[in-house]
Amino acid sequence: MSWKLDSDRPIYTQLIEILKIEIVSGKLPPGSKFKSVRDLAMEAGVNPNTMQRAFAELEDLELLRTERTSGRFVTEDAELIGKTRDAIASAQFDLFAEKMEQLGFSKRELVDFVNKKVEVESDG
Amino acid sequence: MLKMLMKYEWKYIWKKLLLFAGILMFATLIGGLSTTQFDNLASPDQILGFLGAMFGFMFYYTLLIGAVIGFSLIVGIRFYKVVFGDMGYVTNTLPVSARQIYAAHLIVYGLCTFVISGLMQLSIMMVTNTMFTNMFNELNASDAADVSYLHFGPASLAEVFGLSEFGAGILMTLLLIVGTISSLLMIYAAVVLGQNWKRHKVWGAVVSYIIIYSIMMVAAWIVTIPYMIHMFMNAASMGDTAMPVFGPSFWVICLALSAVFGIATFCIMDHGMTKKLNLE
Amino acid sequence: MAEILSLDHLTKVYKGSDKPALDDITLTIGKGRIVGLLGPNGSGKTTLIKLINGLLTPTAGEIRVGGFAIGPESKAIVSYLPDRFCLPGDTSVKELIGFYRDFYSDFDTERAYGMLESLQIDPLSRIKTFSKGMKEKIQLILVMSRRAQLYVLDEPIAGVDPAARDYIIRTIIGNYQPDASVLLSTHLITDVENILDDVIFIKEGKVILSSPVEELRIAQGKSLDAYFREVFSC
Repeated sequence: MSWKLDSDRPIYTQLIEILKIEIVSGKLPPGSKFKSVRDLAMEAGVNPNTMQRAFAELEDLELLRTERTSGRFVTEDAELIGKTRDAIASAQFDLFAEKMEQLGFSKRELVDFVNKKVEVESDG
Repeated sequence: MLKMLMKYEWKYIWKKLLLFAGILMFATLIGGLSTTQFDNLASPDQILGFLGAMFGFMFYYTLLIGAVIGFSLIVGIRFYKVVFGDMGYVTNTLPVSARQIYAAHLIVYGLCTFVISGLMQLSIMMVTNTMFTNMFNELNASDAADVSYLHFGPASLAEVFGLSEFGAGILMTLLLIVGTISSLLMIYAAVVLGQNWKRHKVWGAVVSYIIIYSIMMVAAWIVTIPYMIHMFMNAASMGDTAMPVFGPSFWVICLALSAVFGIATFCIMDHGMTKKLNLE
Repeated sequence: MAEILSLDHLTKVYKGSDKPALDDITLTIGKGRIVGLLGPNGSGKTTLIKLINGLLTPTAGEIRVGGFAIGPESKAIVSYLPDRFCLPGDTSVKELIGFYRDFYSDFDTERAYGMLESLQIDPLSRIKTFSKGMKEKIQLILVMSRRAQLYVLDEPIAGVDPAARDYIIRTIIGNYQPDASVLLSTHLITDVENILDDVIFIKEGKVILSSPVEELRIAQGKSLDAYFREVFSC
């Protein structure tokens, strides 16, 4: 996991973003067990209370569940994971689209551009 | 916790204590050997032997004084380092009270000083006995009896102190204990007082020690003067009995003075370590 | 009792000085918090830390640690890392561990040896044979191997190379217990701000700010380091 954190923004929101990405990309598979709060905090170089807060919010979003004796586990709700992924991707797309619009691309030009890029990717 | 503090002070000092004991034994040997040459006083052709004996004796004397000063320095420096030096950050944050800290030092180094003082007294007794035996081995019996008081031992001390032999032994031990604690307290109080200097706290401690020591000497002289006067008056009337009898009252006053001094220096040390601790 | 440390109108005036080094400070630190004490040099950080540890006596006011006044009981639950290296040079690391174990019932010997091993430090070596950086790490290991209720770290990462800084910060995080708190003073804010729960800004002996860090980030929209520069600009 890459824990690149920006001190200008609240840390816990960034932790939530990073953990969400890990979950939706499948790096943390559904039903898998999380490392302990302290271990992850050490990895990320953050305060355990902050990591705990991120976990609490993930639990509110039901992306995570706590089993009192065994620990914390990623949800097995594939639909929820899919929805979360779409939400994140959507936000990324909006950013991209806005930028492209600033560059003067129309919607048609945008789609052609993306197709060309994807073809190049799959050829290469 | 007090036991722990004492354990670590003992760990620090025991090797040095053995070293000092060894030095004292070596010095006693030198001193004793050199005084066996003292019967050569009258023979000019043995002048080299005599000079050798004199130097040997001076060497012995120097070693004794060196031992006293050296050990006092070690004790003082250790106290300073442990309480007020860099190590003070560790010592003063241990879960112990300041009283336990200096109690540990007083007990451990008090015992060490007691042992060293005792060894020194033994050494002096042995060497001066040897010395006077050799110096006066040509005297006849009656003259020898006259100077028998110069043989330092329980019997002669009892005569000097005006006590029974047992009483003299007790008194000597008591004086040794009180003297030991007082001398330690003087060092510790001086170190504590030295902390009041903004800079050069070590020099502050040295100066404080000199001041405390001077006060003690002055007090001791003031106490001794009436007895000295008494002695001179007695000597004038009694002829050539040289050694005065300092009666029990003198020694009681000495003990009392030491006790007062001890309490005063103790208060200085206690106050400095509990109320006014200001570590740099 | 939810607080591990409470200061009540704490004031310290050094002898021969008319300005107080600490001026009427009142604050508390809760359990399980990592708190940063930030301020420029001479602001009173070290004075405050020394007072908490009983190395100085207050001119006025009260300090309580775990409910205790400063004394043997408070010292038994506080683990202190001074801003300088203070351990005797001619003892071995093993003897030092024995010393700590003798005096502190909360000393975790296994943890200490574990940390020494991970740094490949030979316990039988004498302290004076180590480099400055290693000595400071050893001191840190001894301090962090205690299961104390309050860890007080005075400038733990100043004068230390970046790799060592990372090690120290990871050690502080890894040592975290929900019932223990950490108070650390520093002026190297960028390195530590991500591990702080709360921050106290101290200036010329007065507390000018006491706040959870994340709230500051939200309210100010900038990092703690940037905000500090703003507040303490010369």
